[in-house]
Order: sequence, then C-alpha cells, then structure tokens
Amino acid sequence: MKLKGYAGKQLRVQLTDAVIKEEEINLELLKKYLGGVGYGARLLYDELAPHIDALSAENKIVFTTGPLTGKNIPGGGSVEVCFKSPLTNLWGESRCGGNFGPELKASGYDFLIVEGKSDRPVYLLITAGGVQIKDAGHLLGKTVGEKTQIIREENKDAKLSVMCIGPAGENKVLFSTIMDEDRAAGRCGAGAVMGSKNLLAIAVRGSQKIEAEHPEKFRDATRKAMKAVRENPNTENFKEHGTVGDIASCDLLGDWPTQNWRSNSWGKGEELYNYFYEHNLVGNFGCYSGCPVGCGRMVKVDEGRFKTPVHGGAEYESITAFTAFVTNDNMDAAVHSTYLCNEYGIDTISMGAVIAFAMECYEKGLIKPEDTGNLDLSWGNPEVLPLLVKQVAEREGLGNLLADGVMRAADKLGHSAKEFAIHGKGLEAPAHDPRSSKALAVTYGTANRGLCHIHPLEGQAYDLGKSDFGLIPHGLKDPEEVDRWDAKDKGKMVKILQDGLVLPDILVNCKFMMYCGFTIKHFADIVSGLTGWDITEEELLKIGERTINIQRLFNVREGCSAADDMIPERMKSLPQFGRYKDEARCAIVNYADMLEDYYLARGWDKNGIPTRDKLASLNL
Amino acid sequence: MIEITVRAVSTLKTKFQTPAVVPLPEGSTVKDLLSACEVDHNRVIVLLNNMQVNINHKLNHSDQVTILPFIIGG
Repeated sequence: MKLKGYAGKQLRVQLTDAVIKEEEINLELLKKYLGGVGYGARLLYDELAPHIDALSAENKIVFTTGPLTGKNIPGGGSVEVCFKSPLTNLWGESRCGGNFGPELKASGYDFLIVEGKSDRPVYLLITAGGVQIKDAGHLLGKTVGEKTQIIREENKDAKLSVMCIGPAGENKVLFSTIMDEDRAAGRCGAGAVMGSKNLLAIAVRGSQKIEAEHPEKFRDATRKAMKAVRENPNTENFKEHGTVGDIASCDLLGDWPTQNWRSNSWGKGEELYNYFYEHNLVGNFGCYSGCPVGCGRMVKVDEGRFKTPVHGGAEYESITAFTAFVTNDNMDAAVHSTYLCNEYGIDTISMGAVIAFAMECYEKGLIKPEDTGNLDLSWGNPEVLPLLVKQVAEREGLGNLLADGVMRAADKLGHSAKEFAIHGKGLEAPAHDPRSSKALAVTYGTANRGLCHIHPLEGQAYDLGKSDFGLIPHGLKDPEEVDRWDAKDKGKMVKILQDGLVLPDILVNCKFMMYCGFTIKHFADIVSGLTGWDITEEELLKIGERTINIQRLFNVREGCSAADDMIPERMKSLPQFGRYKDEARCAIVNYADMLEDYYLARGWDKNGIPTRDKLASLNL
Repeated sequence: MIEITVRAVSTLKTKFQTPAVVPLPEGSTVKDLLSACEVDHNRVIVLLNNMQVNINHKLNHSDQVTILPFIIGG
C-alpha cells in the first residue's frame, strides 16, 4: 500500500564512485521521527561514525522534507539540511525557504542523502528524466546568481529549483551557506560540507502529486490553519515590515546586541529602520509559491558606492549583523554587504559577528593595521564591510583567519581574544539578546546546533513577545503572567517550548507559521488527514522531545556536555552603555540554576546527559 | 480627565501624528489608550515611562507612553 502524505522513497548519491540508489523508507523509523530534522538526526546518528572530520568524505549531508512540505500547505516551501557541522563539530542543521523542498518531494523523494566525495566539481540534476551527476567545472568561482542562471539555461528549464554554494562554499569557509536564490540554508557551514564533496549545486524539478489518505479531512484542517494565519495580527506585521521591521522595537526593548555584545541597545534602531523603509525597501515577496505571509523584502540601493540591484534580502538578523553588531549606521552599506553574502554564499550572521570580533581585536591591538592590508577596522567603518565579505569568501588576507569563525580565530590570536569571541558551541551568536528575556538565555545555551537564531527564538517570543503557541494546555505557563526579567521556572518552560517549536523543522514547514497562528493542533489535524495515522498533539510533542534527545545524543557522542551549554560571560553581564546600562535586571546571575531546572525537566543528569530512563521512555 | 503623551515608533507613525497628547477619563488603561489612537493592541508593544507594560495597566496623568510595532520572530 502506498504511503500517503509522503513521496515514499529516499535517494542516496555516493559521489566517490558516482553511485545513485533509490531506497524504500523505513516506515517504523518514519513514524517515530516523521521527517526533517528528526529523521535526519536518526539517520546521521546511525550512519556517521563519531569524531569524523566534518569536511571529509565520511560526512554526509541530508536534504530532508516532511509531511508538511508542499505547495498546497501553508509554510510548505521548506527544506531542512542535516549534516555534521564543520564549525561546531556537532549536530548541524539548516533550514531554507523556497521551492526546493516541494520540488524534491514532487520528484519522488522525501530525503536526499549525499555521501562520499567527487574527484571533480559536479552538480546533481533530478528531473522526470532521472538522476544525473553532471560536470560542474564551468561553475567554479561563479556566484550564486550566476550558477543558478547557468544551470537553468544549459538544462533549458527556467523553473528548475536550484540549491547551490557560492565561492565561499568552494573555499570551505566554515560558515558558508547553501542558497536557493535569495534564501539560505545559512547556519553551521552546510556550504563548506557541500564544497568539501566537490558538489556545487543540486537542481530539481518534480511533477508528482502527493496524495492524502483522507483528502476531505486534510483540506478541512488546512483551511482552518490558513484561516488562523490570515487572522493573526503578526501576519500583517510580517507582510508590512518583514523581519527587519523589528530593529526599532528590539533596540528599545534591550533585545538588540550592539558592538560585539557590549550592549543590548544602541539607540539608532528607529532612525535606521526609517531610512531603510524610505530608501531601500521596494516591496514584499513570499519565498515559495503560495505563501500566505510574504515576509521577504525586495530591497536595493539606488546609487553611490554601495549601489545594489533589487534583490531579496535584508532580514532582521542580517541587517542587525551589519549595523548594531559593528555599530555601523550606514544602512546602504549593510544592505549591500548582505547582498554580497548571499551571492558569495556566506552566513550573514556569522559574517557580521566575525567583523565585530575583528573590530574589537583591532581596537585592542590584537589585529594590527599591517594584518589587515591597511584596512581601517575602527568600529562603524562602513567601507570595510563589503571588502571583508569578499576577503572571507576568497580566504584572502585577514579573511583567511576570519573564515574559520570567532572560536578558532580567538584560539589563534590568543591573549584576551577568547573573552570577546561571542559564540555557543562554536556558532556565532545571533541578533537577539537574553538580557531582555531570561528564557532566551536557556534556549540559547541548550540549542543542539549552538547559539542559533531559529530554535532559541521561542524563548524571546514567549518571554518578551508573550506568545504561547497553543502550548498552555500542555503545561506552559501563560506568558502574560510571566515576568521577562525573572528566572523562575524558565528552564521548565523552555523544555515545553522546545518540544513544540521543533515541530516545524520535523514536519518541514516554515516556523513563521507558528509565529502567525499555527498551533500543535493544526499540525496534528493536517498530519492525520495526510497520513491517516490519527496522530495526537501529545504524540507530536513526544516526537519533538525524541528529536531533541537524539540530536543531543549525537552531540554527547562527540563529547558535548553541560560545559558546552554555557553562554558567554559578556552576554550575561550588564550592558556597558545604552539605555539599559543601569538596569540591574538585565544581568543574568542565575544561569546555572535555570540550566539545572531545564535538565531536571528534560530528564537529563547534572552534566546534561539524557538518563537511561528518559531514553527508554522515548523508545530510544 | 488625564492627559497622556504618546509617541509612536517607526512606521506606526504613519497611522497617527506623534508625539500627541491624548486626553482620557480617569482610570483608563493602556488598552483604552490604544483604542483612542485606533491601534490594534495585538500588534504592538507598549512602554510606559520606558518600561514594558501590559494592556491592562492603569494610566496616570502625564504618563509618557511609547507604542512599538512588534514582529515576533526574525
């Protein structure tokens, strides 16, 4: 009997010997993990040996979809990429919006596993005509836009969905991305893993329809979810302002990391956003066909030395990384630099963070003018931003040091550099500040892929944004009754939030749907209609918990423990300047207590290791 | 009556002119103020004298209120 709600097969491509294999999916495993970062984590836990070099042929990279991937499902334009991260040497995952996920599924594959290493540059072509490994020598050194265009032209299909790396991935920059046009599988260095395999791109076009077991129930559940999204006030906010519209508010609320985390506010957020709205913003767009939100920004710089064509970009995180992180108040330079990051295939967050780190090194004399090729790395200098992006992408000059991220750069520079290399598990910190909301401190510290902007965000949205995500019936305390400055019960609440908010990454659906009205009940109803499995909210949350635990086990096997769940001292300290300088409640003085509270709620021991009882209760 | 000084941040400024002094009956709350300004209370965060307050917070004469558009996520 055909599996409903899924394509039902996985594709395995072994590049070393150019072997292409179609495999049946293990149904028992699928029911335990559903897809996405759950299925991907189980597969990599089982198939990767511990302590392998993430940039060797032994690493694998898995492109995953899930039951909620598809053009007929709100938020369904998603793909989750899973791998061992070369930046953290731990669990790596990265989500990308766009049409690639739906196209992969429509081509007949829920999962694409790439392993081994090609001896020459290649790309994969997956169409109704079959799967081919094609020569990609002519794509070497090309930008993301160029690679995408060439692949479409030479295959005479303008609608091919293409995910590719830029020069940064080819040069194995440890925070390089895989791009789907303007959207990125951005964090943890997926681009370097692809580059290490000599795989420059994957192009896919599918035509198969995914059938539902109970079509009427599926349609009804989807309609209800869509209605919830349309009626949610956050949807309109996202449409009108995008994520970047948040910078003025975050600045005022003490949620805007500034000058390499010396402060949590700058005072320029409003002025910068007003400039952006007037000069850079062209309009909004959805990153995949049929998105009901359309949070994407079409932006440009009309003239001057930072002139930039109209493109999709300027997200909250990217713009913060190139403004507040480095105290640059030239918005044109920020828009231009993030555009370059996209074209070169670089994670904008890590890139802004390494520049902020370099600027502090320069201020302290750890990086000298002769080390920079006489670039002036003074705080806020807009001129050096695009230059450093290119240097990192090409690993030229100072760029070669920065291309390995702040943790390794600090190790090489020595002295006090470690004190202001702001990362968690090796991943550079993103653009929300836990000094504004204590739950964010715990989600930051305990996120399996490191200090990222996706998983921990529920901590901020709960404490500061007062979102409950429909989790109150599952034990979450009403956020309206919670003080964002208070540490009490935050560890416990974070466990519930994480189990629920990992679901979009398992079902492979855009997380913003949960920020715009999707609840666990919507997920349960849609999955039940699709698969006929009659899955409950409780079962979904259990799958969320199982996924977090299998990812944790992946990390524990690599040597990860409670010490790796610590967050940088500067992130916990009172801001050195700005409107919250004298606000004592900003300081995080009881992080260890919150962490202990979290481990207890998780059923992990004091060292952050899942107990045997906990694993048994999760059938692990 | 009490008088509240309201400042709207960023693009909320396009909704109404600020800073504005808004007269309200004694005992009014943040929610009443937002209604008077025709701002949807589900889409904003409110700072009273620079600190975040919820919509049921009671206002006093000459309070300074800042209204922020808030996008959860990003």
